[in-house]
Amino acid sequence: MLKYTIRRLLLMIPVMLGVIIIVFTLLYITPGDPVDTLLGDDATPEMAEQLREELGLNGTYLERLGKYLVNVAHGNLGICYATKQPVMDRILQTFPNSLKLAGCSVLLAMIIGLTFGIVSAVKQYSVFDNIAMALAMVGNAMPNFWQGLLLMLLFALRWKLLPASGFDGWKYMILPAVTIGTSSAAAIARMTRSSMLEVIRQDYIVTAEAKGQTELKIIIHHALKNALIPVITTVGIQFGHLLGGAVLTESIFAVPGVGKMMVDAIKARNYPVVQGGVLMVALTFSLVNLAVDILYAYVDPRIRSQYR
Amino acid sequence: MEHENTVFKKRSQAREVWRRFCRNKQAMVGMVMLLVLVLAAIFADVIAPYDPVRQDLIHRLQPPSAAHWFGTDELGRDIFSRILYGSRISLTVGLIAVGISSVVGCSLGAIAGYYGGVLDNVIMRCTDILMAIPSILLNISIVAALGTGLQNVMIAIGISSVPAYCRIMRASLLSLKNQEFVDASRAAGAGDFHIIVHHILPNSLAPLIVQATLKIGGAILSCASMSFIGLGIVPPTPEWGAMLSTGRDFLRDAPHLTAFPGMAIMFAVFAMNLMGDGLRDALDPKLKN
Amino acid sequence: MKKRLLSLTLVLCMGLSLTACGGKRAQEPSASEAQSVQEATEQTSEAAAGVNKGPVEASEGEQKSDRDTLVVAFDREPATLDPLGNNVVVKRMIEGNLFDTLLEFDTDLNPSPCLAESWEQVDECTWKFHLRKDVKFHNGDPLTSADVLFSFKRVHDGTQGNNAASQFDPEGYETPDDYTFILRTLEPWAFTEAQVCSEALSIVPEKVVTEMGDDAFGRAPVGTGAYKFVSWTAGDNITVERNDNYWREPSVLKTIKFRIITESASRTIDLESGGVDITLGLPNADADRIDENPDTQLIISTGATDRYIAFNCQKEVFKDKRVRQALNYATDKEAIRVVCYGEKTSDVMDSVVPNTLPGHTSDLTPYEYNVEKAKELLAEAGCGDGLEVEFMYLANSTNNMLAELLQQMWGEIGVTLVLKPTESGALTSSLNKGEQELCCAGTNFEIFEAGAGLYNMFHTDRMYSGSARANLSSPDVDKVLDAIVVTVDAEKRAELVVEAQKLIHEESPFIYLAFTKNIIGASSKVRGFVPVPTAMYDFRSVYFVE
Repeated sequence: MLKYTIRRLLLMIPVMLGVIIIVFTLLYITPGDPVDTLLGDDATPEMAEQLREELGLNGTYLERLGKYLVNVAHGNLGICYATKQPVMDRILQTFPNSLKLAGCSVLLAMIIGLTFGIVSAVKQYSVFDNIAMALAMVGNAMPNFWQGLLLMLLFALRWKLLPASGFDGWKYMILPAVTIGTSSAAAIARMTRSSMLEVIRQDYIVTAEAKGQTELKIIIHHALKNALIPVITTVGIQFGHLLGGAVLTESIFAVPGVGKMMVDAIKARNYPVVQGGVLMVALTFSLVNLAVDILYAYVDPRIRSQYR
Repeated sequence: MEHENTVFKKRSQAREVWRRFCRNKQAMVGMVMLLVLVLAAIFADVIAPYDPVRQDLIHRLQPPSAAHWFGTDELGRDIFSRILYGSRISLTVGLIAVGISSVVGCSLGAIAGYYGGVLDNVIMRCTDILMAIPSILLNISIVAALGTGLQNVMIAIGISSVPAYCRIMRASLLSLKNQEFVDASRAAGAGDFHIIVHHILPNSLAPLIVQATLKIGGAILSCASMSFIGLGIVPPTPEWGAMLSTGRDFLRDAPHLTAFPGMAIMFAVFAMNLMGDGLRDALDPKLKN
Repeated sequence: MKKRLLSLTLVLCMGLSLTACGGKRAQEPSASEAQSVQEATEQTSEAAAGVNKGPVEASEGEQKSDRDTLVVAFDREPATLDPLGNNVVVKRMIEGNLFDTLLEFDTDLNPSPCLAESWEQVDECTWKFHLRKDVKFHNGDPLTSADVLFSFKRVHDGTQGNNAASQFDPEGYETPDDYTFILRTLEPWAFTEAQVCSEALSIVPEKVVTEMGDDAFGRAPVGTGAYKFVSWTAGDNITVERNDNYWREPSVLKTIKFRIITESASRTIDLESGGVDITLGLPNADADRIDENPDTQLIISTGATDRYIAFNCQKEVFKDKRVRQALNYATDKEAIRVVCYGEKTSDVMDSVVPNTLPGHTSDLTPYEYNVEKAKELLAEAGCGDGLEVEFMYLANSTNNMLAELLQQMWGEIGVTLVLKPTESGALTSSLNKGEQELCCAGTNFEIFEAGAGLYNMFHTDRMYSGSARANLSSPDVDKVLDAIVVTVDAEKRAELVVEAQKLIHEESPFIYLAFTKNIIGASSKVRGFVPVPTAMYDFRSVYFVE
């Protein structure tokens, strides 16, 4: 198990390297110059040239990439062009917010998704099944930003129950978490339902039923545990993607998250922030996936035997 | 003789799937919805009461009425007509983006799974890389690099969902490549390409179709998100996401500007999801009794 | 009732005086505009009398509330609060509350004393400022001429896009004693006083800046202003607190929280739901509703911002003046103004100089919407068979509307407009290289001097700079602009400005769209807010009622 974990961790190195190279290359071929955005309108060409020199933008592609890789290898993600803070600081300012938001949404999504999924599976083709699945799909089908604005209109403006935007405590987290969570909830509900359906028909469940155990007990003790495996994957992937991918929701609800920071940085051609941000998100995503795989092993001994 | 046999078998298999699909009420609803969409897209110029790009400033921001069923937008264009024409754009985006990702993804997945070894490792690490970057950021970076416009948006969305197909294809290849019929074909002298296209692809089609159907909805949503960020299509193309995104400035005073395109998107995605689920159930008889 | 009438009259007078005010100064935000991703509706300024809404004071029967925190929402987080940074309107506004300048604009946009209690022009190029002796920085250190010298000098060495000192002689500064400061311009320059008013030349404490370093100082600034810096939560808010030892009347409220809300729809909703007290840069589509809503009030202030379409005069298609004029005739400017910038939240743009600035003329013959004339001119120029032009613009909803309108209008004279919505990062670079054929832009006359603005926009020397989107190069125009810059006499300068406008108008480098105003939404409980034309709002007088 330990060997397996180490091997996976080592495999992450080429992946992260790839992430860096891809992002670096994409930014390199993207038209636009950070200097133009940084200086505003009043700059002279000399000023621009000097700043370009200062930021090290004059090297060739390989020179710059090489330099960046060496820096990253030393744990130095560079300096933000705009605020002149170390990129790590900027990430640490925004990352926890995204982490909190992603955690909250996934939690919410799991509660809703698992409940809907389980009940739907147990009562397959019932009215509840149909309604729950329809709801899940509506949650999935609604463009996020529109949903966010509608929620804001209802809960903040019409009923004045929750603050409209900002990030100043748990109250501020509800609307964005619901906005992001609903689409994940849909995915989780569907996953739970189908994997439950599969499990319920297995022999040992039938045996348990035959032994006269109550339905609830069977679901919890036997079915759920086994049905959870694919669900865990879904949750892991959702969590990873919510971290850096909740860009629109963060923008709508003015959440100072890492996704919004990166999009702003892409627009300003603030290369170090984009690279650093993507790297951190990618790393977290990979770690979460690894954690999920390890979790698998605990849930399912058959899988554990494969991890040597 | 044997050839005829397989044809017959295939047909009966397809018929069986179709029968299961038809029994699934949700899937049928999805299909009818999709049919409506396709018809709207094909006959947009016949059905649409107005020119979708013709502006009429005197009648801008009008609420729904008999003359304009869905009202008019910020430049006085008929929203109903725009939505009809928009279905063309959305379906195109969905199909082409999914087309790109499935073709690229399947090829890569097939190569990885069939040849294995170093090639497999390299390709799978590449998909890991793409998976690790949140797709919306990848989309934004790609469109920023290539420039705005429908074509580039489709490419971006296509690229970012390559890994999913790649993995599905590879997984089914791994389970199929050592089966007897593949060995038989190889013994008969068939080439790798022939084997993959004629034997493996048909047998791994089911999960791919399901994935593709579900992803069409996802592609439509991604396209809308790109429009929101300002990296979407070029106006005045009546794309739903762009309409929704422009309409948010009038969210309060003219809610119909967002409501109809929003519902159109939901309708399309919903249809695709119902279809996808239905197909999954139909193609995977384990789940149904 | 009587009192209410009185206050109403006062409000009206204030409004009138604001509009009537003769402005000064120039510069622009077109690249800063380019960055502002969310909306072009933002950088609005300017107004005609009746519409202007002045500061609202508490009326009879209204109880002053003891709430002492004001929440102000704005759209884009500044990178730094160091005056050394580039010119972004809201950034400068926040800085204005933390720092003071030697001089400041009064409500009529005339330079008036601030940290300098008096000043004099010694000779053509030399200015002498006498500082107040009772000013202390937030850390308790007294302000001396050494700090002033330091503040000016560092602008010369800065590389962050602040060129406010470009006309001053870096070697010419002198500090004969602790409270006297002398500056020299490189050559006679008409806008010295106006430039000294600008927040870009705010006075910073030498000791603190040297100790902290520029970058750290920009994240935790120390100034002499009415508010002390408290905290900056990245991406969320900047909080400042009343400076009780301010050398002028201190603020009524204790705390101001500047909240960053990028999305304009959310900003409005947050105002209406009570999370925010003042929203800067209200989208013009929301103006009427905010005005009618009993919980909110609409405040419109005059400013000095142009909105226009700029032909790139260096591109082959637009080298011929007649083509530019033809397209100008083919544009229904009023329709664009009403649809894109709001009927009440903008004014008809009849010249390139905002109607708030001295020297503005309304006597130019407008290029009225006339399709026939446009066709004629186009045929004359040899483009009668049609033309294809590319319009490059910042992708946002206002600009999309503008582009779509233009496309339809020009279609009628056989001109195919190819739209190229571009995101901000790429746009600015392309424009700075002059790659576009056509773009739309806004110019905010930052130092409120028409001449300085015109120079930046139209002088051959400034071609391909951030302000000169038309890249016009006309010897006649250059001559007048050169004359304006050295004409110290304000009246004479105004005459020259009129002449320049005529010449420029004839060249048709721009299609005038609108003078936009600053649209501000406030909670109905907010009183005492002064919507100054400079958009450098001073929150000292703001308070709440129950």
